[in-house]
Amino acid sequence: MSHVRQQIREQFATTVTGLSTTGSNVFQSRVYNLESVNLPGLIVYTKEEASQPIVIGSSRTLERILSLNVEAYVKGISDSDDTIDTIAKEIETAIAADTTLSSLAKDCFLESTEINYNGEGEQPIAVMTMTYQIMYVTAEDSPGTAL
Amino acid sequence: MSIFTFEDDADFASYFVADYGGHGISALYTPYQSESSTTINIILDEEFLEADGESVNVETTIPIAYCRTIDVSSARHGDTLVVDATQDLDGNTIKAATTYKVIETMPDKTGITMLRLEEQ
Repeated sequence: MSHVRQQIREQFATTVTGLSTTGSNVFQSRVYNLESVNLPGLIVYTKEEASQPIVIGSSRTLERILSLNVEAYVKGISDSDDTIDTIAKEIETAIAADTTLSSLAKDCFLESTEINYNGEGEQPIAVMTMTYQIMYVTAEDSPGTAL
Repeated sequence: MSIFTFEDDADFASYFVADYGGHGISALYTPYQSESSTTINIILDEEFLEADGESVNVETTIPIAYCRTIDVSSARHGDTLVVDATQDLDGNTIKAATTYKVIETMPDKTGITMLRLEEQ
């Protein structure tokens, strides 16, 4: 059984795959540049997690707070701000419909959204980073099973 | 008429020749909010660029048209350039005809103006 963090990342990516604006342009933990055919697109990362024991004893239980980032990339000559906001609406709606991410998490919510624009290239590029806080619980010695 | 001592208009024009293997191509230039267009020769440079993203970058190009300043002496943001399709000697299309909008003007004060472009 894979780590619950991996299961959560994959479930999140599955949930945001097929949205109206970004369609199947969804990648996990991508490290290579995006090309035009990948846009508009999403990348899902799980880069940071904090944990603490909530049950003390010989078999401890860990409560974990996972920061999941979903980055949206848009390229276009007009209304890229509107497109970014449309993508945000689609993601927020999809995740709000399943805040336990198929029972892997206790809860998740959108913590922050940051939007930046880049006019260096042949067409403007807009980049949005949405950070979700996801709480899940595992036994210390069984990180592959969500409790 | 060029005022430069060492280069005349013919010299500048020769830099932009579109025939006989020259680097130039013809483009239809339309000043902003104008209904009249003129055909000029330009050198179109589209250097590769990794535009900054967040965790990754985006592959793109920086289209810049090098022009004779006398052809675009009143260039400003919003002017347009229409460039015909680029084809190889066998007639294969390398790049389709493209319309660009001027988003930055950079005259070098020596007879050449660079226009940074946005692909439409």
